[in-house]
Amino acid sequence: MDALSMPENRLLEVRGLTVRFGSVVAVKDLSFHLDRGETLAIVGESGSGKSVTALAILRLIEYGSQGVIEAGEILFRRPDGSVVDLVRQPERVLRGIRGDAISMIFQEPLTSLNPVYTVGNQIAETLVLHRGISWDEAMETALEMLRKVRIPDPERRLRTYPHEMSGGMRQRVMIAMALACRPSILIADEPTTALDVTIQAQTLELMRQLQEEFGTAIILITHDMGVVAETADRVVVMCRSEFVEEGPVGRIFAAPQAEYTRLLLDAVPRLGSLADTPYPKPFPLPGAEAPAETAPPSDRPVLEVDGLVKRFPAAGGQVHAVESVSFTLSAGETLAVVGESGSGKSTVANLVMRLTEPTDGAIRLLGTDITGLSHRAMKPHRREMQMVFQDPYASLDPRRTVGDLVGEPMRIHRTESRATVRDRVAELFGLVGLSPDQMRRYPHQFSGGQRQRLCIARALALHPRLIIADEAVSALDVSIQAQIVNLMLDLQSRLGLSYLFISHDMAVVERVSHRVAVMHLGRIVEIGPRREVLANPRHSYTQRLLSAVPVADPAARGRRGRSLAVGDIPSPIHPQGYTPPPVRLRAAGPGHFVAEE
Amino acid sequence: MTSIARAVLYRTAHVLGLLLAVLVFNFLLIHLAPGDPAQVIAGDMGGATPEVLAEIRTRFGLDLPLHEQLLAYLGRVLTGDLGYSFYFDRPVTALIGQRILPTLILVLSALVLAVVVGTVLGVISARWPRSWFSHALTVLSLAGYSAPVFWTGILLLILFASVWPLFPVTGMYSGIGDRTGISYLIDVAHHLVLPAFTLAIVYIAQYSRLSRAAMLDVLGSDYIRTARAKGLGEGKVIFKHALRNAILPVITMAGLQFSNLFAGAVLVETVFGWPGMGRLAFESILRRDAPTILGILFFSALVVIVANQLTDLFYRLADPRIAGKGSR
Amino acid sequence: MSAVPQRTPAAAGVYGAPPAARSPMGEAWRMFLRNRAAVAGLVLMVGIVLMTLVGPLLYPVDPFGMVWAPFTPPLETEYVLGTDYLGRDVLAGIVHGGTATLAVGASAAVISIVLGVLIGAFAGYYGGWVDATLMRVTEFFQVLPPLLLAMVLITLFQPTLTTIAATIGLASWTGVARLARAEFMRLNQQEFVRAARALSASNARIMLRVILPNALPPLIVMAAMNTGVAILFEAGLSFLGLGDPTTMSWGFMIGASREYILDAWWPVTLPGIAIFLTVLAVSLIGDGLNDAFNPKLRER
Repeated sequence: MDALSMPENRLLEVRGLTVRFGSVVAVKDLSFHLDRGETLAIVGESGSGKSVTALAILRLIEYGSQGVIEAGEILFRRPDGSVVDLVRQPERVLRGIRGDAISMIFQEPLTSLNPVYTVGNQIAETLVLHRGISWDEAMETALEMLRKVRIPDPERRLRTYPHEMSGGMRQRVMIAMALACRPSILIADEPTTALDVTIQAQTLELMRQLQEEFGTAIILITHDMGVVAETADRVVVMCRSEFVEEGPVGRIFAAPQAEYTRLLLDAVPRLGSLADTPYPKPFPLPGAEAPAETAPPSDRPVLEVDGLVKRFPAAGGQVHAVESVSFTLSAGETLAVVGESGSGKSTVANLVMRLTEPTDGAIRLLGTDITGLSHRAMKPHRREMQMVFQDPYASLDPRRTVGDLVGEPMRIHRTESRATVRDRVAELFGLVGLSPDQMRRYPHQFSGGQRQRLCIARALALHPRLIIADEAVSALDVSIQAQIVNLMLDLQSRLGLSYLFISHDMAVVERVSHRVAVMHLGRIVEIGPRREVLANPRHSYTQRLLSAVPVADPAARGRRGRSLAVGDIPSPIHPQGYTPPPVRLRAAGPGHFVAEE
Repeated sequence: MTSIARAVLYRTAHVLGLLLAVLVFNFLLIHLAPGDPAQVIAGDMGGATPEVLAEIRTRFGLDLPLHEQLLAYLGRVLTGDLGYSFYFDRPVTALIGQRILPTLILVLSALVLAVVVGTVLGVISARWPRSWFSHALTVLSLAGYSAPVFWTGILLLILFASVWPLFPVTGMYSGIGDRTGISYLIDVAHHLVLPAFTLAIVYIAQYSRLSRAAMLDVLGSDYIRTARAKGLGEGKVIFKHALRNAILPVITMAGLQFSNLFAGAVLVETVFGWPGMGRLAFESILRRDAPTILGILFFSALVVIVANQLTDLFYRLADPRIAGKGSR
Repeated sequence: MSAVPQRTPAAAGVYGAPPAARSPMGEAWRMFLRNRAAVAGLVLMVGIVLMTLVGPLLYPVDPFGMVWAPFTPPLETEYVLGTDYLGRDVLAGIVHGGTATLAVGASAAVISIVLGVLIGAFAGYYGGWVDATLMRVTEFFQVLPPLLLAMVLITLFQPTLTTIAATIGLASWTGVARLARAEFMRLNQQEFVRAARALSASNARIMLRVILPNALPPLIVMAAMNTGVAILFEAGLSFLGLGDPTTMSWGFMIGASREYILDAWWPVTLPGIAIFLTVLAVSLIGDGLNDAFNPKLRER
């Protein structure tokens, strides 16, 4: 086959692509192709080289970080039918293609839009550049594009700045900008990763509809197997800069050829996979013994929260962050608190930890009301509960050795003598699966998963009864996430811990929890046994939330109703003096309560 | 509308509060200084006679309780009376009024020079961070802010006085100042070149480094990647998308440093005989003329406050993100 | 290749030898020593400090004494750097005049750092009315031009090395306070600080043991830069004749001889070079520290 020829239906063909940043090879000998109108997903965990591949197609890696395409060809069929090798085109030609025939959207819609120009300006700019039309005409088209991405009140939105919009709306603007010149290829790099799950569902549906309307082929870069299963026609799997396998989405999920793909799919939590048991269950990972269900919890309450309220002032009134939240948590039990951003779930964690002072309500830890206790009086109670944070990079002081960090709780509380601190730290390292001879290293020398193990070791140092995990596995790659979840379940059964597990990820919540509380706008709208709430949701919000979760099973695609709703998550900010309506919960089953709507 | 009115009101109160604090501070300084306040006010004017001291005591009510003196002092300031210089034998307000314009001309031209030249150099260097130009700029800017401004001034003065008489090295105008119109302005501008450049050097050095760092930062940001993904050329990427963001820290810094610039004018005016407030400060300090130097301190604070408010306003225009928010 | 990363850092082999235990400070120091300009600055600084400490003993000529005919050019007599308009030895001035400049510069920098960090730390850590009050104070000092404030204070009080150092410190702490406040505020939001708080660590412990060590890098850089600024400041005051009249200093030499600049360049130029080199050394060190601390050059 001649170097510059492709089958008629083919838009893009990457052959033997190798990209290098300094001494690091980021993509190694990668080949794939894209046909007209199809959606190709490139999946992989962090460091797999998937995003570099996306940038390399547009030759954007050569700026700033100074990446170099060392070998390979990127054949592209231009709209006029001619085929060019993008690797060998001069900058001038590439500029004509970027944003016109091939355009791109990114993960962070906030930082990807220029903060000092209006949305209309940024969309129109592309049109003026590639279509050579006047600014007025371009603004007209920009307005039409905003309508197409279904942004409410587009005339006004045209003149607003990116910071005045929500994340979902910003991503719609990015899509409008990318599609303005009707490109033949749209490259979407983790387009919904930064969005809440209901907004993600809307955005994916929008992209699907626009793809139909515009006939655009999409290259979707993602780590999320659920998103892949819902949107892709074909899949390329990458791992550590290398090609792993390629195939139609159904085949990849049903019969993965590569060992890596199989392990990756095993680690993906699937909502509904635990419908047969009321108890948490570890992921089936290699090396781990047959996943045992963890022991049923006792009914001795460890934590009782009663009528918790937190409001704080904000521009334009008051944030009703938490309103009348009540729940109990027993020994050995996991209560998951789920919700989207602004639901107040993290505020609940901070209130229980007494990192934030509640406006009203009571928190009883092992029977003692700890609200209003002074710093000194609170100190002994803190031994009973500890916290694990979301970002394993930010929650360890970078300037101290990890041994020092894990030993710090014992030094602050003087629970061990100087001599025994070391032994206890070594013991804790063993407990979370780290080697004690790593004690003298610094946090930056550990991977994300290892750091989260360190955080758990630190939390366990004082023999607590309760661990509050605030999005503790959300920032991790799925394979690491599965390991940490298994570790937490293992520790729970060995030490009888209770977990207050704060998360936005329903599938993970299903794995770890006995009971679930769904929060929306600062309130618990539904709380009950995990199996009940997930299988039989009663509150409309819970139902919406569950239906928005992407299902990691291509066969299930289209089985549930698609909504083209355009919504923002409503704001919990109300004017000063606003009195929220009282929360009334009614029983929907044993231990299952639903807020009246 | 009311929120704007409230913002303006808040800002005015804030400014007035600061000015009041400066006045009280000034007043206390005279009374905290060791020795007889009357002597402090009279200054080192070659033996203040007992009559003069007595006149000062009655005039300023130095025998009254301190708080009454403070009120009287504030009252006098309100009517534009900042005291009387016994050395110059003139009211301080009149002295300063005569000198403020040359200083403002000097300081503002140095500021504009520093911001414009500094930013341009920084942007060029950030665009080609590994070029010889970038390395040379790094070295030059380090040298630029390591050299004492008065010393650089003197070296330039030697250069232009004896080696290369291109620019006048002293004063603000030639002869007896009898020129008018355009010819006068050109003459002043000609005299302004050396002092303004001398004063600007340090800040050119600083702003070039600052804008280089800011520009490097901005060039690595996601929205620049977006701009390139749109197919924009380098010119548009740099001048439309990057520059306006990269200049924000320079504006902030220029605002914060305005008072330093004002202080630097003292040294530069002294070196080049520029007839401004700085030179007045130098002259009055030689004579320990407290009323004048305190008056200058107050006036400088006033100018700095106004300048800070203007910077704030300018920043708001440049960055829509803080346009709607309260005082920074 | 094993697909799912294991518990032990097996991945380390991919990127080279397993990392040894290195403290972030140690890493920064290594980085600093690899920076040629920074090391040159350090060597220059050590040389200058040695000259001012040992020089007066090796060259005990009175810097105020008239030793030869006025305006003797350099290299013509035993006074190798020549004499000024009063016949004072320029070399003696440079050797002896560094003490005042360096001592005042260093102590003023220390004063400004201590004052600035204290005020900035409390403002940034506690926020609320503490912050509002302290920032009003900072703003007040911000609007007073530093050199003019120093001139006023020195005019009213006596110009001794102590008052000059205190005055310079008082006139230049606001920048430090702003930086310290911003750093304390930023770090206070970090999860590792919340983690310490969740452990019941006291406020003092959090401020001193958790936040301060992490806020130090930019503050150390600023301390270096402030030393340079304070040296220039002292030189400026001496140039205006506001230095300690009993002590020789480089700025004073320039100020005293500037009227005669067209007759004799050396009494002005040479001490100026001394100041320039000192500040340059400090700036090079500060710059090197800044690069060494810059996390972008390292993994996190």
